[in-house]
Amino acid sequence: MNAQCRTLISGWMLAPLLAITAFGQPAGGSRSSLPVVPASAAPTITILSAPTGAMLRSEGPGNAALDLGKVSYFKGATAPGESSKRTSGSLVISTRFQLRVDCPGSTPSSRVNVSMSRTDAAATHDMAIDGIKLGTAPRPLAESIPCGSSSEHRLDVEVPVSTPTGPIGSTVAFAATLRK
Amino acid sequence: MKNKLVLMTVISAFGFAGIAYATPPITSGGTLGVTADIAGSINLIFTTDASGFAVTGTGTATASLPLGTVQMYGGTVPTNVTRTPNTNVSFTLSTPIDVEVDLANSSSPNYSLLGNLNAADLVNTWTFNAIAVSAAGITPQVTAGTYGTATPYTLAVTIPASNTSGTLSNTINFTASAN
Repeated sequence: MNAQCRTLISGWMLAPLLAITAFGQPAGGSRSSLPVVPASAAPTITILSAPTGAMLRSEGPGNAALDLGKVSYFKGATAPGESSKRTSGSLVISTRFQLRVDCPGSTPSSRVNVSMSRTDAAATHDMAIDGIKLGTAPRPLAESIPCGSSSEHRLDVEVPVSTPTGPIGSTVAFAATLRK
Repeated sequence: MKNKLVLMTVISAFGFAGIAYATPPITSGGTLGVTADIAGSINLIFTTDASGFAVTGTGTATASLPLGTVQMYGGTVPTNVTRTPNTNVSFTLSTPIDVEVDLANSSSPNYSLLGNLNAADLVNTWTFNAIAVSAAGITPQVTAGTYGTATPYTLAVTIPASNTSGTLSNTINFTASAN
């Protein structure tokens, strides 16, 4: 009796492990007895120039680059699609860009959350998108936006007068997460 | 023994449930690289000094001093203008004017200010900060000015008694340079 019970218990304990193994197999595998759930691919992010914004340069899927050009506190920004505003201690350069999120393999009603963060902590400047200051910790940019939609956003780069002459640079990281 | 079996069944059920909820979120990323080239810059403004003649365009880089009618003897001396006669030879009109030079994105310690007359004047003598201002504009009138502070400098013009032209008008172009 005792030995029989041990066998039964061992069998139940193995069940989750078998299930894990089964879920890890390709959908076209031979384990046809298990239900096959079509997997959604990861969302894709595309960063584009906004009609009224500065020109962005595409750097491969999901990546883009924006060169604000030469800017100075007293002359501001001069490149097309940029504006600037002086405060008592800094210059704020602003432009607009578009963010498009697609969800290949997902249902038309699928939605995503988009978060943003800054990959550096350089003290030479601050950055904000839609008025939300960027830090190294991700912050929500858009919640529950439909897959396949585009949204326009404002980027502000604030350069204090104490920042030395020369180039500055930062990278903004976006993450799109498919909502369940 | 039955109880143990039931317990293990429940635990296994939770195990399945756990697998379902532990599926990692489907996430992807993108990046936007942002660069800019910060250039140092300075800005110059003229303002009316507390003891000076009222500057038209005070607070800007384009100012003027409309002194009106002046004469060597008698008449009315413009408010906050000092008239210094040099008997029978000439008279000098002077007034302080504030100059402020501001600096951004530069480590320059101070500035120089060089003024030059827009049109050469062979009759009257112009000075700024007691240094001659000529059309050639060679000698700076200020060599180590302090940034961010409105500093009064005296602008003066000496008009000889022999000047009978009736009008006096000229422009001093100032150039501030970061040292």
